[in-house]
Amino acid sequence: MHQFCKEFRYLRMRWCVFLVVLALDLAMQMEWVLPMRSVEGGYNAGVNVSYEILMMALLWMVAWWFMLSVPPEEGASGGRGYALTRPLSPVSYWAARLLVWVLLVMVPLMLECAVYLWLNGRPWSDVVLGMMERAWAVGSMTLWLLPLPLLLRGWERYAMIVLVVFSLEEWNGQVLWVVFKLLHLVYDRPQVGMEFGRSVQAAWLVGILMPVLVVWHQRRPFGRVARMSAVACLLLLYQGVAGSSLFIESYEKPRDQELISKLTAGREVVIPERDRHFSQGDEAPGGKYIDFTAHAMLAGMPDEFVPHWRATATSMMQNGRVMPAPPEQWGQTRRQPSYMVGYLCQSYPMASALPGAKVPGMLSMDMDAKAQNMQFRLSQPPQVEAPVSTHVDLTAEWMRLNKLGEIPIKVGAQFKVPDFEIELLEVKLNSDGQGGSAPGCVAVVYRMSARCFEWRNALLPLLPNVFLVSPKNRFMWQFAIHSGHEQARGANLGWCHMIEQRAFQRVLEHGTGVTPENLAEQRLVWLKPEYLGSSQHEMEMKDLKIGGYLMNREGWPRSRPATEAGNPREAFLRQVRSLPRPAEGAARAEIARYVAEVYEASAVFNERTHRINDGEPKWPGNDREVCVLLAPFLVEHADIFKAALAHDSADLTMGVMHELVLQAGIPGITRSEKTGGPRYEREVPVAGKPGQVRKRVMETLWLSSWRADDLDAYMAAIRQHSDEPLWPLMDDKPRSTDEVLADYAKSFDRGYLRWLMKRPDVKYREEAERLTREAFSQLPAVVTLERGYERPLYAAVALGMPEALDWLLRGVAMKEDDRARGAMMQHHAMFASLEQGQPDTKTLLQFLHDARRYSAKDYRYDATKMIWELRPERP
Amino acid sequence: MKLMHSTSFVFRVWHQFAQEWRAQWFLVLLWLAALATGCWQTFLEELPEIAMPGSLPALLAMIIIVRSVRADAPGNAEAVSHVRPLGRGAVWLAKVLFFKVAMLLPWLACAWPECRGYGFGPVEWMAEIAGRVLPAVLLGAGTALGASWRGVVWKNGTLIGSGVAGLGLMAWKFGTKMPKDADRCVLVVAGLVLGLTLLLAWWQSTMTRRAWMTLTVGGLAVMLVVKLGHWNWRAQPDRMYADAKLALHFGERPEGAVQELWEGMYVTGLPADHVASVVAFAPVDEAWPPKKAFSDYKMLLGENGHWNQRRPWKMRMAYTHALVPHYPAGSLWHKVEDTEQVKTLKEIVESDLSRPWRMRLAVQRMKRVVTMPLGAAIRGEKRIVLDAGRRLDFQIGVLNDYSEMKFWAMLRRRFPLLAPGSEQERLQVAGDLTEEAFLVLLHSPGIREVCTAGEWHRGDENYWSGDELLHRFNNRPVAFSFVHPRAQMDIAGLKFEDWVDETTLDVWWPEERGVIDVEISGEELRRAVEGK
Repeated sequence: MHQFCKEFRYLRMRWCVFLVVLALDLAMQMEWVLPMRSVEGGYNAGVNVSYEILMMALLWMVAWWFMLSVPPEEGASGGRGYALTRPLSPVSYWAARLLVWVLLVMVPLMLECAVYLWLNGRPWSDVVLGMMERAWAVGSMTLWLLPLPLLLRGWERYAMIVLVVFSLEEWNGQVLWVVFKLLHLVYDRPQVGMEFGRSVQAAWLVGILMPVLVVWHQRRPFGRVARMSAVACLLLLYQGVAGSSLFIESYEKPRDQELISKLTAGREVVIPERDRHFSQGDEAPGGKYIDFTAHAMLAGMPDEFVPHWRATATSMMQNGRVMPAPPEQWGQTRRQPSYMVGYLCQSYPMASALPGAKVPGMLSMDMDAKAQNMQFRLSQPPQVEAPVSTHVDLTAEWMRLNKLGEIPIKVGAQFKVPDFEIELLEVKLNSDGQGGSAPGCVAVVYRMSARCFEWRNALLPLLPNVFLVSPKNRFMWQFAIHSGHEQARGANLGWCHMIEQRAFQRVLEHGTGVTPENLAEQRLVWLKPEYLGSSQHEMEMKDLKIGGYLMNREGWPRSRPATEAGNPREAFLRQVRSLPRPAEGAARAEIARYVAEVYEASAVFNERTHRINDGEPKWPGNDREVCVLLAPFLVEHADIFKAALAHDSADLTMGVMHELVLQAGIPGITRSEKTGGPRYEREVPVAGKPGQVRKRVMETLWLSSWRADDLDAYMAAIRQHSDEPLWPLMDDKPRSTDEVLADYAKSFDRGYLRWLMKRPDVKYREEAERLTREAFSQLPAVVTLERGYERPLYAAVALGMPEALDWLLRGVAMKEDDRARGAMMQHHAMFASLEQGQPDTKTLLQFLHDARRYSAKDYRYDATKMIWELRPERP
Repeated sequence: MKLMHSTSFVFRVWHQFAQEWRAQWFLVLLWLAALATGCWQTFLEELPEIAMPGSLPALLAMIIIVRSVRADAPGNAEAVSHVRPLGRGAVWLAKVLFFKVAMLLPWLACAWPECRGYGFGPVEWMAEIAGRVLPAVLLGAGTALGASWRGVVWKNGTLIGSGVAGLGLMAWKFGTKMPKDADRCVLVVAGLVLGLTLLLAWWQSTMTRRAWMTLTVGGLAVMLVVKLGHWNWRAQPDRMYADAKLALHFGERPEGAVQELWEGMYVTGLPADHVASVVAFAPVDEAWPPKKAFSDYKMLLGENGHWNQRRPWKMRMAYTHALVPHYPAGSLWHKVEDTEQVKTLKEIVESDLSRPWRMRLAVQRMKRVVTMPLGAAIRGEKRIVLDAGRRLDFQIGVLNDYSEMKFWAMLRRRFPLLAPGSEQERLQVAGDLTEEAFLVLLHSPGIREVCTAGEWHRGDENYWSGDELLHRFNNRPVAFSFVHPRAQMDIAGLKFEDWVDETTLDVWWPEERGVIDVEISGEELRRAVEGK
């Protein structure tokens, strides 16, 4: 006690400073000073450094400064002689130092925590837990701070605090990252201000070395550089242990590994064809590679279990040769496998994974149908077009959403559960959350409080997500532009507060059923992803032709006009007219240059050939004048045009050929009144049957880039003034049912489906139906299905599935009136309308209005015609 | 027997200076090495895995200053400063000179390699130097004062408490975000006052051991400057574009040289090479300028749903159109990128056709910055100064994969924020500076083609904005892409090498010429929307 009193007398002014800073910390955590402000400017109003972290740094610096302050006669080497002559045993001396630490630092810090939790109305059990955690955290510094004054002299202590701990912390991180990389280990630093358990445990573990170091120093004194370097090394070691995988917190552990193992056993990995995406990666250290991304499922797994996949090993063979491993993606892996699963809430449709009773037909408004949950690298084979066999060992990390609570979208609404509280502070309509207007957007500002003890944490390892759900309309919004929390308070004290803003897009829009008037009927739902565990699987991809999945870039690269924004047809003609045309009989090279210039312009002004929804040309007119200019050159130099044809998507070559065919006087060729182009119709003799004739008709004389040799046939007809060379172009073989079924399995074309469902053999009908239902069940539950995802939905509608019709009608209802023609395919799926010619705009507009007014139950299915009809008894 | 001679003040200063060098030479060399490493690191596109901590030079400087000052500090009982025959004034001045020569000058010299090639004029160079001197003086004088300070505990406590409270008040007033220009100028003046105070206090502390009053008065002066100061020499008033010929035309497109803003609304009377852009457009009775602008400017949605803070400026077709007279008539002008979809006038004004609207047009003049043979452009890295403080570094990235020719570029911005804002900074959209835009094109006279490439957004991964209080640093990765003339190659047999040989690469940069506000009546808007 004598030594304690002596120390106290020496430290009393410093202790007062410490208590003032402690009081200031409590005042800030309670928001008595520097209260949190609403995030009016969205993310732009965020801060670079939070006040909470600044305050935490100040508090700990003062605490350390207090504990490192010892009278000069007792510090470092100066105190050695003095201590030897004092009538005080080392045990008493260290007991007194410990008492100073515990009574003057640890206890006030524990009391601050207790007062904070008590003032926030937390239960006594939390108060006790908070004090215990605080004692545990503060206690971890004991082994560091008590002996340190005997190792470092005066200014060295403060230099060590300020410079090493703060200035060099980032640099230490870099060093450790490289060291861990060399050791093939994962280095993942704890989050500052939120995740302190690992740091505390590391401080306890590494702190043992500090007394050892001091004892060593007392026996064999180190120089200044050695002393400071030794402390720096210990700090580096501490950071390394904290960032390593040595400690796994309780909240990081899988919640139900047994359940996952049981559920996933024996199931097969399923990746629909359309969900496989291959792309060539850039040249990386280690060589080129192929990126594989996919939306993968486990056959038959309940919807509420959501996986994220990663490859643990890949191997690839081509022509019996094993490919070298792809370059490693180091740095992508995190210490905790659950890390990536957390991202899925913002990027992966979760409508079918919502907890609680299933709502049939719940659709995600803002998710992409192409959302992926699997990504890994494959080797780049030498020949991407040749087949490869790939074997992949996969690990799936499984997540399930837990509902924390929900509130109506009404200012002041709140919910409280033991671990979590929410209060809605503000609702901004048609706001982008940045102070600007964004039609249809709904921004909400809320205050979130959560239990955040290290041993009982409601925020870690995966943060809760807020979804906007419209129960009546069965829509949900899960992607929100978020502000980031401007500030947080109390994250180190077991009960944290933060103010956040989320802006949901396309909410107040046509067809969603959500309006400013009924906004209070919509719900904000907080869902917390729970990491359940992982499962291991294998996947084989045999005879895989990666080249087929890669973007085909053999054609001419796309190019557009840079100065002309008007009518591209007129601009094209203007451009061609401006070119100096070679004279008849000019050299081949000159003609080739001219033809190339015309084709280049044709490719640039390609928009002139675009058609609008109803098939009408967007830019009426034709290229006849250009074709007439080019026609004489085709007769003399067909090879020039053949080279162009391979890349001509503007049908220019066909136009030139048509002009020549019409001029050539070929029997059976006339100008079509319907198209204005040549048409062929003639009765021709049947080969091998003298005297017999058959009628042959070509409504259009097609020429396509993938059948360049057809041009030779046309040129032969032109040169010979005969139709005979054209006959081979008209011989098409009929396709078998199996071929159509195989095509349907890939394309889900409704025309094929209707044809297959009319086959007398029941096995084809059953197979077509099975394929359709299976593909429909695999569709991601999102409103906007496009780029190949919509076909199974349309096929399911054509097959008479009411749930598919419901889905389709809700998507149609969202279309704007002036985009009614965009509902053509949906109309065709329901009414097979294209078989009777294209519906006009008025019909499609009526279709849109019907979709907004009626639901699937107002329609009945005519199984014979495979179409839907509005019930006469509809409301 | 040798007699002692009285020595001159200059000699005593020189003697102490040499003494300082003998005592500190190793640390000074270390400091110079750290400075050189830091300077070298600024040239690297990507820092090494273990980069030198940015704070190391400052740390070494502080160690040198502390060691030097403590060696002769009046409060240091072990020092013999009281009985040294040099005089405190000579010792103090020698230390000041030593710090200047050994540390401040090398630190300032680093500005040359770091800022060279950014097109700085005398004003920018002076501002750059001042921006380096101010923090150096604050750090140096503060450290020296701290090292020579010796006060009683309560005074020290009060001083530290006041310092922390002052910093807290500053943080509350300015927030923890980088301050805007008005606050920046006030902080610079406050920093200047503080620097002088610290310097004076150190001198007093050395000479008389009494600097308490100076610090108190200086601290109060700093607080007063922060509270009451209203300086902003960086602010640039809107430069008004004064050309009586510029007018808006509504309805059908008029004959002659006009620029289309939207279908039904045209700008007439623009001189050659000039382009107008709408930077603000809102009903007259609404807040001005509005938060949203309607052409050439867009918001980017970053990763994880954050609104990106970047404001890219898009070079629309009108900018390319302005360049046409500079190239042979009849050339085929084309580009790789998609045409930007802009909202139609009807979509913007439909709900408010009854009231008058106000429009702000920014007028820019296209200036050719460089012309070089394509063959030279695809060999090695090229650097072009676009404007004072803006540099475009580019090199070939993809030469002939899939008929693409793609250049990787880095648009570097480095500007001393003590200098008045540049011309480009006059233009703000929705209260924010926009990102620079430029236009690169390939001219191939032999095949009568001009291929333009606006910049492609390369994502945020390598984007770096490291604005400091006194300096602006911004590295924006961009790409510009062209295509090979495949039609000429496939049909006419043009060789890639021949095409490269006869092609030139031009870089065009839009110079701000000013803004002009016009009011548009409801009737005029209706005519524009209806196109009559």
